Amino acid sequence: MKNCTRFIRRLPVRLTVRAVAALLTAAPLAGCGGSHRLAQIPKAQLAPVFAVPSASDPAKLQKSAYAHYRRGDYVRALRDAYGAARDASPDFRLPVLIGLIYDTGFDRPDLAIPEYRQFLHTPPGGKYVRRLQQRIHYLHRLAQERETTLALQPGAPSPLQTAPFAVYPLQQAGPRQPEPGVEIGLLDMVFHGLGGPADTSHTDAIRPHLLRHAFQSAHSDATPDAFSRWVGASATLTGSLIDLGAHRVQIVLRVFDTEGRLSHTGQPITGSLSDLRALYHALLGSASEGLDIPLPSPLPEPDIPSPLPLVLYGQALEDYLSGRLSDAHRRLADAGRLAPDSHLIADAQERTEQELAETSGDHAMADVYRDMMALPDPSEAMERRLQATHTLAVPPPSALTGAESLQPYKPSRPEVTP
Amino acid sequence: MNARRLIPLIFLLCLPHPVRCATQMEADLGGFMHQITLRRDTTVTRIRQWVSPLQIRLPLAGGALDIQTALMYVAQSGASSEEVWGPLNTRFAGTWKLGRRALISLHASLPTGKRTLDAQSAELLRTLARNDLNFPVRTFGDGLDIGTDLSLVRQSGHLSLSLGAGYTRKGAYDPVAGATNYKPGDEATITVGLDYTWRRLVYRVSAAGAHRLTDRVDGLAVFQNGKQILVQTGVYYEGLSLRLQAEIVDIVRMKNRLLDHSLFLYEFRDSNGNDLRVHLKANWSPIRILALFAEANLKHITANTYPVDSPLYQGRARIWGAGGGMAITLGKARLSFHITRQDGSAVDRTVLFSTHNYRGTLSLAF
Repeated sequence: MKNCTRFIRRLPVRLTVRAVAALLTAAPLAGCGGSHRLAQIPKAQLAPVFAVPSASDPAKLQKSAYAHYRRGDYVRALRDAYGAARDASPDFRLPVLIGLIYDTGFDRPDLAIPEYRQFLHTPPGGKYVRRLQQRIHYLHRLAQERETTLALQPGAPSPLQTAPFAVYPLQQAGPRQPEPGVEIGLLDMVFHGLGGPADTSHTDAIRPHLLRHAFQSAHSDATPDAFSRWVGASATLTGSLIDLGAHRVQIVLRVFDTEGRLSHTGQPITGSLSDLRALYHALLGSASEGLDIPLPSPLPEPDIPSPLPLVLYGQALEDYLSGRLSDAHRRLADAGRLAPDSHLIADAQERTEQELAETSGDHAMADVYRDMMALPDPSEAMERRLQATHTLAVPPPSALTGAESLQPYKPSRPEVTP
Repeated sequence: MNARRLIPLIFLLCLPHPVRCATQMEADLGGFMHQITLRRDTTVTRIRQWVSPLQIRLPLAGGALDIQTALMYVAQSGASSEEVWGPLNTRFAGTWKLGRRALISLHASLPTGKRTLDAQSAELLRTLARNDLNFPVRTFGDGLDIGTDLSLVRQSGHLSLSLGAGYTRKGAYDPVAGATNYKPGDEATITVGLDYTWRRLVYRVSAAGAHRLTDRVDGLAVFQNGKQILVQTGVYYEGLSLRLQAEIVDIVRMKNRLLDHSLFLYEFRDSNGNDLRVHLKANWSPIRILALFAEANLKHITANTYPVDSPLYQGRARIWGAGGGMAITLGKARLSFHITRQDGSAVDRTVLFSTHNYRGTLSLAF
């Protein structure tokens, strides 16, 4: 059974009902269900996994799917869940169960996300929607890490082929060690200032950094040109940073094309971190020229207005990418106090808080599903409530029911009181 | 019909068909007999009410149109004898869903019922209309009534919240001989409700407020019924084969307004008693074609606020009872029987009574 689970974990595509059927047929060919550990397998799991589920009632199938899931038999769980999904009007919690199996059973966040999203469109709302949204955020991060890992495989397509540009941290030059975090913090502000993220969602904003971090982790001798060849974006913005002392820096921005060739070297920009606004505008101008992207008008103000929160933000970003969520959270909290109006810091803080909450969330998600089973079917509940209200306002005639109406009869009173 | 013809018919009826479907026509035909035996000192009076209703439900423009009418026969025996019979008003009620969150209904009651009653019949009908005697049907019908109601619902987690508003325009009619062009006051209703559902358990609180405008005779305001507030709370279990219901309803009625010496004033004391009703019901369906049900109910009516020696005094009353029945579904037909027995007292226990109610309905889907 574990082999089957691994088999599904490796699948590159989302499973459909047909795909599950095909998978269950193909699983033995892939070495699933070997008999070498039969003695260790619980008796209930010895029934052929490919057999048509014994129950035909969707509710029973869903219950059975959850029971299989609780026992760790994710393949049968998925089979029964998809069996229940064949019903014309499946239970509104079924996508959550399927998402749960993919999420915590098969470690397939990419397949779990669309299932969880289905639930968001149903009206029960409340805390469950918020809880799933938080989980989806977290799964996005996991899915991106998974995509990044797949993209590092030899022969895999470039991960940012459609992006206008990517960023690679400024390289240290000169004898002085610049404050850690400045090199990525400054560039991230420029990245956002030029509209680098495809949209404003957290996940797209962090993706180029995730890719860069994964690339640097995989290649100890990583260089900007090698990164730009691998990442496949139209251009990669990077450069060098010289710490001149007394908060003064000199920066030269460089742009590499998709083939890893240096396509642009900007004029050296000398400025002070204490005057971050001027430095930021100069960097924007140089990056705009190198990337051939028009400058936004009017020039945006720096999202982080002073050097200390910028340094903390850059350090927190590195902590986050390295999985040190507590450190990242602490630094961002400090940065947030120093720059309360910064969107970059606020977004990163929210993202980090959500992921910290989710780090031990696997079992919690099963509890969420179990709690959801106490929820009424929203359609039925609304119908029941509508009928109750309507019956109260317009009671059925008692001639039909043979019983007294809920509304006391008001007799005619044509007489005038003397 | 001989047995050879009957067996294939039973076989056809037993074929599985959904009885409830908005896309098909349905008809309910039945009847009930409600008998009450009143004892006041040594005087025994018995009143029997026979009602034979017919309801047809037609799919209409994505909703449903109900047409309901009935015949009623009422006979009194004992100290005095009287009988009256005739058709009841015919009611048309259309109901449509507006999306998933709203329900609208339009209803009209056509004045096909027996009206302009003579003095004896009117007296018997006044007995029927008494709230403390619990007759199911209390009138042959009023004038042409037209109304509408809109209900909205919002769902969030375990909570379902609803809000409704309705208005019924009452038409003029002649309730008794000699009283012509009596126009009851129009009625406006507002309802709110909240359901909390936990698995198969539903806890419900509903409230309805009714405001009636003035009754007029030949355009002159003569009476206005007091505002009425109804609060209903209950717990319901909706299992696959077992359904349980426990419900309490409290109905509070406020002071009426009367025409008194050319002045239209609120009455000095509230002449309306209030209702407290408790209703328990169980419905068990051991097999698909059979449903068994049992119910018990209690109704308590408080005395009004007039002193006991006042002619307007209305004493307290209490009615309690239990009943049961069964329903058999055979294909597109559903046959149900219901028997209820009630005992009670009225006018501060000076009147004791017992009632029997026998009811049978045949429902057909086409």
